[in-house]
Amino acid sequence: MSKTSTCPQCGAEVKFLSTLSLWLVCPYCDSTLVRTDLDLKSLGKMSDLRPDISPLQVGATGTYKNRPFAVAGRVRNCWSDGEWNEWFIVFSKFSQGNPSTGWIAEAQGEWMLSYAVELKDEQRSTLLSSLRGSLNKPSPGQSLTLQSTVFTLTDIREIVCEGSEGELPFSCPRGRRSTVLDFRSQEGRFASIDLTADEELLLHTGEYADFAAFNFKNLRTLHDW
Amino acid sequence: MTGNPPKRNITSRAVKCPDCGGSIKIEAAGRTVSLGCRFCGGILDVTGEDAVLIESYQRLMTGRPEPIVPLGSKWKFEGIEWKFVGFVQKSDQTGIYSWREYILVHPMHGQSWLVEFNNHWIHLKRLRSMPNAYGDGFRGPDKRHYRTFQRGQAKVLYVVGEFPWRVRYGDQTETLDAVAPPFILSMERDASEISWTAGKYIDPETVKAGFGKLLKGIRSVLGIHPAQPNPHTKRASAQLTVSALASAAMAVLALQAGALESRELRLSQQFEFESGRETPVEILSEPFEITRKAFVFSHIHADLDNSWLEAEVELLPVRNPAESTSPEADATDERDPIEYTQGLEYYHGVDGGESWTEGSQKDSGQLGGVPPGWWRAKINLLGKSDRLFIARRMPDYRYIDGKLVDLNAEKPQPTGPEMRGSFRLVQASFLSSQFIYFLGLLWFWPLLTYIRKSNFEKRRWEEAS
Repeated sequence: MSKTSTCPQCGAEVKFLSTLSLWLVCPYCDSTLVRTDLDLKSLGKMSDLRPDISPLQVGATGTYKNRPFAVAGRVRNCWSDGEWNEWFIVFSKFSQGNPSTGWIAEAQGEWMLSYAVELKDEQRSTLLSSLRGSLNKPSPGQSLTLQSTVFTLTDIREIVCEGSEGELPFSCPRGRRSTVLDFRSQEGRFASIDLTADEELLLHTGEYADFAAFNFKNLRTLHDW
Repeated sequence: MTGNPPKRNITSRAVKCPDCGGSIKIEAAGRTVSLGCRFCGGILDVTGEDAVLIESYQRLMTGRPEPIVPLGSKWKFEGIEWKFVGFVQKSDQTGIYSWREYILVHPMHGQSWLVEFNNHWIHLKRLRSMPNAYGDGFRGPDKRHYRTFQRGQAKVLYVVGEFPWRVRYGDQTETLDAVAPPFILSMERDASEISWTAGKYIDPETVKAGFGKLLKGIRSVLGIHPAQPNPHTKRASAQLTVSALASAAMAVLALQAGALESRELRLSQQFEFESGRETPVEILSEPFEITRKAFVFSHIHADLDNSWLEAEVELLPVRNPAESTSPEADATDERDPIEYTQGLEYYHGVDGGESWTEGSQKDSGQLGGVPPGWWRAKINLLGKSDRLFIARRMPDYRYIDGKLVDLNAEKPQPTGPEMRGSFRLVQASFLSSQFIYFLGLLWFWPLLTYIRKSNFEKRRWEEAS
């Protein structure tokens, strides 16, 4: 599955863990690279992320519910009351009916696993029009039915991307602004919608998990801990 | 790959306090939102590149509350090494009660709190879901029933160190505590958010041991904490088990030894009737003692033979013969005489070749609650024997070999007293006194512990609102 290329900026050998990843931040020179058909194109340099106490790093591996995965990239977001990490993971074995990539959100030491939900154009426009109403007049408590689960809107936040590293399925440049709507279901599942001003819409659904449930390996060495 | 990419292993960063210029290390980088400057007490926003002053500390720097360990200390508990990064002192709406919260962080296990009130400690973690109201409290995610202890307000008096949320002096929240000791559910609500935490009472020694070296000693606890486990509960159940097992064992042994029910003979009076007489016999017994208020069984027996007997019994209170020169004198206490009658009849015969009996030669009666003391029994016996009559007037004629034969003709005539009988009074009690004494000994401690346990709960809930 992996594909090796050369960084056009510094000449280092870089490797895509996933054929689904289109974007990569070069681990040597921090350039953001985009994959075209055969070679990579540099989109400019990504500045260093500020230090944090996350035990995860790009290159860590794990097994969640018997599915091995690798941590391929990270997006660091911030909002008015804090920051959090979204780790992009790539499952190493194809499994029928299961998504091949996912996201591990890490916020204040709480861990959540979510998967992108593919939307058809029709579903997307229906969702967008229903959201416009709640965005103009944010009203937590509004409900949303996804995959036959009823979710309730709990939170609306304006977020800014602080930076990213590794491989990502989309470009997340520093300073990317979006609105995030958080939903919860009665069963403890959550859904999250990321919406930009130009109506780029990302939908994820997922669940809370304990750190131990991911069976991580190759974690970061934490000094002071 | 051509070698390892540079590893970023730094978990902390430094900021400069814009108010006092002090350099402050942020331990929980990426998590910390606001910072209380340890030098000047100012509150800083550290979400950006540089720290921004939100609020200066307006009061005198002396007399600031101090945590028991320095910021950055580790607290080891249940195998997890938490780092203590933030300290906040809060008070209730009255300002009388104040408590101190220690914010703890861990890279993998998130965050938790140690809260100290009156030198009592609880350790709390945030809940992912809201508990449901249930009865006089809430049903926790652990399915336990938590009883609401108090609702109130909390106000931030002082902060120092790192906070994963925005903090301001004077911040006010509504609070609620519900307990199922040693467990506690705690709610805090402000205008925009409700957050629930769940925790457990931690014994001060465990808190101390988890920290290692302390800045100052932990003082002894004051009063009872809402979530403090009742110290008598464990002892109570242990004692209850021991006493119940011992009582059961004793009961089994006593039953086998026949000691569970005691019966003590107090009076045994013999009497006789002469042949064929039909005359009242009056008997006055020797004094006897009933030692405690008890049931008294009255047994009467007579070798009746087709006859009847009636006993009119009167129990007369008398003085203790050992103390009285005249045992016949009436007792001066307020016991009343007890009167009752017991009757016997016993008939038998042969009718059409089949023998039959009716009645019985003995009878037992029960007298409830005879007062203790010395008594005499006056017994008036009235009866009649028909034995001679049976022997003489009821010959048993049969035809044997064509001759009429009296089968009873050869029977010897009875001699001596026609009928003998006895009258007995037996003091009974279900449990022997020794048994009761041992039971008392066995249950004394459990009872005392139970009273202590109840008092503890009473004192705990006196503080509830």
